[in-house]
Amino acid sequence: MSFMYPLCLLALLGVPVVILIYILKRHYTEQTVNSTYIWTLSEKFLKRRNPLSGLTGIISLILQILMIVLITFALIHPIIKLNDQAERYCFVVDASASMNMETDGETRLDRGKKEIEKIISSSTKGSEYSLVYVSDEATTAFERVTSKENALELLDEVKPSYSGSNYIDASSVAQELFNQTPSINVYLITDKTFVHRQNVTIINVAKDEGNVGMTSLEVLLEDGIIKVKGILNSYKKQSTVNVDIYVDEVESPVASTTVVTPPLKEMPAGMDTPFEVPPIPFEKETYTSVRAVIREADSLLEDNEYIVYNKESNKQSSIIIISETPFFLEAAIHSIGDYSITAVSPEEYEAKYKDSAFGLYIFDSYTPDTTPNNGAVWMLNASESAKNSGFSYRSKVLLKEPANLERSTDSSTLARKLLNGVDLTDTYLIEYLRYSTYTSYTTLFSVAGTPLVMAGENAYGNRSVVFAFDLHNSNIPMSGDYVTLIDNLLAYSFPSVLEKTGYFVGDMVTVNTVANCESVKVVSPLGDTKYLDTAQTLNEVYLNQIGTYTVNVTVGGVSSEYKLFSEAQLTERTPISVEQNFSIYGTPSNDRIDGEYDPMIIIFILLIVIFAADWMVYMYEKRQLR
Amino acid sequence: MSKFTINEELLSEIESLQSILKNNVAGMFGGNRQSKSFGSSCEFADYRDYLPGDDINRIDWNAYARFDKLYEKLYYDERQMHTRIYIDASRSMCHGNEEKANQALRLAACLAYLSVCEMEKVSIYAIHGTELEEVIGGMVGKESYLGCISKLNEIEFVGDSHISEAIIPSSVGRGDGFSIIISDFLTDDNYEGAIDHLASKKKDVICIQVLASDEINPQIRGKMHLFDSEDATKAYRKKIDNDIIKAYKSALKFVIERIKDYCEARGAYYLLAPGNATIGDILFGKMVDMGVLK
Repeated sequence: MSFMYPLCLLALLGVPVVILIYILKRHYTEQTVNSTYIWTLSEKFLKRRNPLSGLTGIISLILQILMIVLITFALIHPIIKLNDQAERYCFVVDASASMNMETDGETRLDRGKKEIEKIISSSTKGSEYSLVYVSDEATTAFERVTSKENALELLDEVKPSYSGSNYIDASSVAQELFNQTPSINVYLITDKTFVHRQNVTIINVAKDEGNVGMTSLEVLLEDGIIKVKGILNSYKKQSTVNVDIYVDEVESPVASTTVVTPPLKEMPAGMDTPFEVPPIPFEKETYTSVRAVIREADSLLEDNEYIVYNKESNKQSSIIIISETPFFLEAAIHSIGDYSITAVSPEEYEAKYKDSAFGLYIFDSYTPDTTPNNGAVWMLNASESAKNSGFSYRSKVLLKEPANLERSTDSSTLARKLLNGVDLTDTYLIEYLRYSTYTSYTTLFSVAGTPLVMAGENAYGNRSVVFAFDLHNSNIPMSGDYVTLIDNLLAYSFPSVLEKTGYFVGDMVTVNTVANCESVKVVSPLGDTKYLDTAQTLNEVYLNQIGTYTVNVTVGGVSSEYKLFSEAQLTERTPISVEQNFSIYGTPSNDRIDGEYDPMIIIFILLIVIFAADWMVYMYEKRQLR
Repeated sequence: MSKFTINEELLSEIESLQSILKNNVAGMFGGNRQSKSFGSSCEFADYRDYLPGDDINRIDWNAYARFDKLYEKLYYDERQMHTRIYIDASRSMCHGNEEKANQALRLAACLAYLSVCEMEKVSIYAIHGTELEEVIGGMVGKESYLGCISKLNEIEFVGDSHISEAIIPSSVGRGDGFSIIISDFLTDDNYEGAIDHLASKKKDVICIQVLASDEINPQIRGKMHLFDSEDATKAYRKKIDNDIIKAYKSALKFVIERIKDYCEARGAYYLLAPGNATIGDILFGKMVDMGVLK
């Protein structure tokens, strides 16, 4: 037995004090009466007295001494050691999206927490508790906590995620704990079923909940008609659901359809049911968003809605090509997408378009005096230095033999993105120009160490692409990857803030920082706000919630809003999912740890009983002397 | 020393009372008390044949006219009684608030006045140990009463008292009226001899037991060491609780019943006079109910 506050033993000094008071109170009051005759005679008439009467004083003293002893005991807080009675526990809690599924107002995670609470509460004090919660990665919430209260408090803080569950990671963490202490009891609290398991107790918190979720939605705007198609994934025996369609965030649905999901034959594979909404007449040129909602919301709320945002609605795509021979560029750009292209000669540009605004300026074999400051700029074969272009012309190199282009090995995000799907190593050129750069450019291709294709920012901070050769002096336009390169460069030059609008939870989204951008703010479905670094061309955002993320981009004091939809992973929509394996390998030992027993409750109960007894003796004495 | 007072209203009321003697009146002097023997009072008792030498003034001439025979009229004799009042002057009668002593003195004074009003002689004695101290001796008439009664205040309640040993050796008279013993009788047996002796002398004995209110209904509780006011060696040490109080009340009842029974057995009167009871209640209530007064 050990004591938490041994100094409190001083409280035992109260015992002699009580005895002293008892002795002082024991004295008899002296009094002279007329005659003691009757008092003496009364002894003969004294019937058999209640034995308590004579003992009340001493009983009271004993009880009070006992109370002081017990209070002292309570103050010093004894802890009784229980040899080899406590155990080690490791709780692996599935905190994936499916654990949000509710039954009777209680989520699976809540049920799991209750199970853990029961185990912790019934365990011997002194046991060690570790908790690992699993979403797309395993996180240790607490490790080797010995206080039940602390463990329960920390358990309460575990919140469900919207992502999947990485059991491999979780089993690794649990395995590590097991390796350290093979006597650990591993509990897996999950809604999944495991084919193989070893050295783990699985507590399945999944009940027979049904779920119907929307797994995909396609939207097509054609000739003033919006066509909507989608797929429902059902885990109910049979159900009829209504799907409402909302366009451009209008509050009332513009169309609805009823979908009958077929009977579920075999769990846990869900049944996909395609559906199609009747054509929706639409007068505007484009839409912003189309939202499909299952009217009959079910236990997993997160998959009852699906939103498609129109990526093209915010796109600016006006291009001017200043060239005497724009064919290679114009053809490639035309083949890529619906861009508005204006092809002019240098003279026309100087005369008519110099002060016009375009999203992209392409100068081919012509060098303006000053680089335009209101859009992205491509400079091809610039034989002079243009002000604020970010580079200066040095010399022209004529090759004796055609030289192959060398692909950059740069591993930066920008290089990887612009060279994605582009090889061009079989292409060659016969002459090129040498430039000196004074702003940050990333080399994409080079010859003999001389950068020939570069991307970066000019002195205005606008995106800039430099070709240090004439396309006509190479066979690049003949290459199959030429169009891909142009496509990548166009994507870079017209930076869509978001490359697409449909994602799964757990995906990493790339957010492009547009030129002269002042701020980029990302707001999650649950309202978490994050500001991105505008000095970076590209920023990555991890999606950990289900629903609509909003990206606010402010340029020149004007804010633009972009939206993306993050949907639940397919595996998380299943009420009961089957995983292959969760095993902890090794031979468990029976190496228990010493437990503790806190007798405070017994002490308090005894104190109350003794206090009540003392009070009763006191009241009896009072009644006797009344 | 106890100081008692009696108001005049009470004395005037007492004058309306009359004591009743059970035993044959045997006083030596003529008085107001009707004797069972024939004498010279005005109250007709009987006739007898006239004998020579009889007082011719007592011949009933009307009877002679009717029966032609001389009859002598007989009248009851009236004697002067001698009421003796014995006051227990021990310490126990006066301790504390002197309730008992005051009550004893008041009773003695009232009963003395009653006797004086009946033209009887009254003597009051204080019992100190085995000695009988005459406080007022042979008091006759109201004037004498008023002159002497204040002597009661001179009685000192000290020491102990042995009633029998004090009364028996004294002159108690014979058949000449009341002998009143006023005491707390908180003793085992020292009063019995006195009652027997007085009864044998044809005295009408009245035992008045005066008890203080805190003796009848004691209020003390807790751990007490009680000392006897008469004898410091007598002590009682106990934690006084309800059980003890019950036993005390039983003992008190026993003491009262014992003396009451003894008195009844000896033809004596017994009267309990609580210290806080009024004289009026005792005289006009209890003593009238007992038939001692009317």
